[in-house]
Amino acid sequence: MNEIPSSFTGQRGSLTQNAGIGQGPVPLYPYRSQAFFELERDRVFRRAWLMIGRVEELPEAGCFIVRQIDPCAVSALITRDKDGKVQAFYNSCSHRGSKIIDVAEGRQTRFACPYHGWTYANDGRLANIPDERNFFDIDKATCGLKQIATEVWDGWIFVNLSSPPEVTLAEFLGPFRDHLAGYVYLGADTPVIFSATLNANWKVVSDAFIETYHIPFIHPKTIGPTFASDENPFGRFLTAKTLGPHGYASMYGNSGYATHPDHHVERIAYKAAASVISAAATNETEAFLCHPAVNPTASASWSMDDNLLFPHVQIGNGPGGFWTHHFWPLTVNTCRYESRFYMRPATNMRERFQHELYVGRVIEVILEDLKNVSTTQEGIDTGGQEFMQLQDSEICIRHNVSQIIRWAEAATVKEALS
Amino acid sequence: MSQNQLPPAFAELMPFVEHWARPTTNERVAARSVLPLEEIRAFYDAMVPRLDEAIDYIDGVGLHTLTPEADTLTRLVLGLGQASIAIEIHGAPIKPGTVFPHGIHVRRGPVPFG
Repeated sequence: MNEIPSSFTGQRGSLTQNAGIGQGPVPLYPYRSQAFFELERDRVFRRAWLMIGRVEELPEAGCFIVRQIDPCAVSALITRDKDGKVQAFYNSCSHRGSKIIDVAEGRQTRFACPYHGWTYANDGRLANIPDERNFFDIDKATCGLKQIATEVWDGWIFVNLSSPPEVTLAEFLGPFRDHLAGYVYLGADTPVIFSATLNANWKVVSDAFIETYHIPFIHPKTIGPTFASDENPFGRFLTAKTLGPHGYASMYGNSGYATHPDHHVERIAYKAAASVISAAATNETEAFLCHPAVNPTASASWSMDDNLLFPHVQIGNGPGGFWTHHFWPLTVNTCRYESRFYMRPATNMRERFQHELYVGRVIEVILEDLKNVSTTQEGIDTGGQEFMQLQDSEICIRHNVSQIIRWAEAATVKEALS
Repeated sequence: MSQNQLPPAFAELMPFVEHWARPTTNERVAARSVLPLEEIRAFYDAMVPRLDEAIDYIDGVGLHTLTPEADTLTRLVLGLGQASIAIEIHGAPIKPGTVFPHGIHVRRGPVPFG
């Protein structure tokens, strides 16, 4: 199925047609309607399994992390107990509801609420109530921290705010599981982490990362020369496919890219690396690159793939490893963006210098996108346009928005997944 | 301050240490973003001819067992990474049409000196 297009400038591609997801204009109201935002919060973010991180963030028993599930105003405490089990809880005391912890991560096996000292074990059990005898026959066994449904797949931690979830994580992931099965997680315990709060609907930001049509225009100097070429001037996709509500796209890379002779620092930094959009030496990444989900068309002109994990996560594969983008809705036109670029720690200065240039370039690319997303949102908010006109290489935008609308309209998750 | 000494072989780079030898990526981005392009270029032009040699010196000492002088040199070389973004990518201290501070925060950078 994964055939490489014979031409990147001729007739329209057939990715969208093959996916059977329609080819007409796509509505813009999901990007600006307050009513839709509330529906999306309640029917997408409160019903879908949400990927919130990796188990390497909790390397051993007694570790914990706190994560904000923004559109739902849920602070989640995720612990690893002495049996190794990873479990999420509402960060809320059984006494009067106060948050029990206010730091992002750490190691502790007991959590004492700062308000009145109610103390919980890291498996959620209520261990101690100060002056317990002054309460009215309180049953400590029923006053543990309230659990959030939690499942782990391939090291990814998922939570679900429905109680109980309508479908299992396996049902939710469907064919996406097979697509990434056996994936090699290079540098999984040492991500470089970026974050930004942006003035745009979360889908405006997410959309910017799942098409390469914009790259020659928005990123002409940072990454434009690596994603497009005379052969493929508009960076058309190598392939893309939908997988239930999820999907993936494989993106073109300019195999003829050469460092400008005057760019002495880039030349010196990358003389042992695979690409300017990679941070790892070529020989380290063989097993990763052999995975069928990585460069699925085995193209010599490949830059990266984007794996879309519905509703709000992208897992990227590049020549040097993997990364994630999270797009957390805050309000209808603001969001919190977080990205993690997983990199093995440098063992020597040459590698460390490559990492510095790689990270520096990533910041510039995000900055270019950041500037663009707020102007996109302002344009959408004018109300002058009812629809988006999407081309074949914008298939992931079409698929994601149509799935969001589908979930927002579906009475049940089973119906949305059917 | 011994913390900001360079190895004697790199002594001519001392004038750049105070501004460029910062301990984190966020601070190096800031160091580049607030200077005029001519000053960034002066640092770039002084560093580039010594870059390979400096990397080899640091690797001779060991990236994770740095002496105080090699520590300063490492931070200075990493500063060149940011300077190169102005010189080799933008031709300006920051991407034209953008502002600094820009709101992108490196919560955890590469080790060491991230």
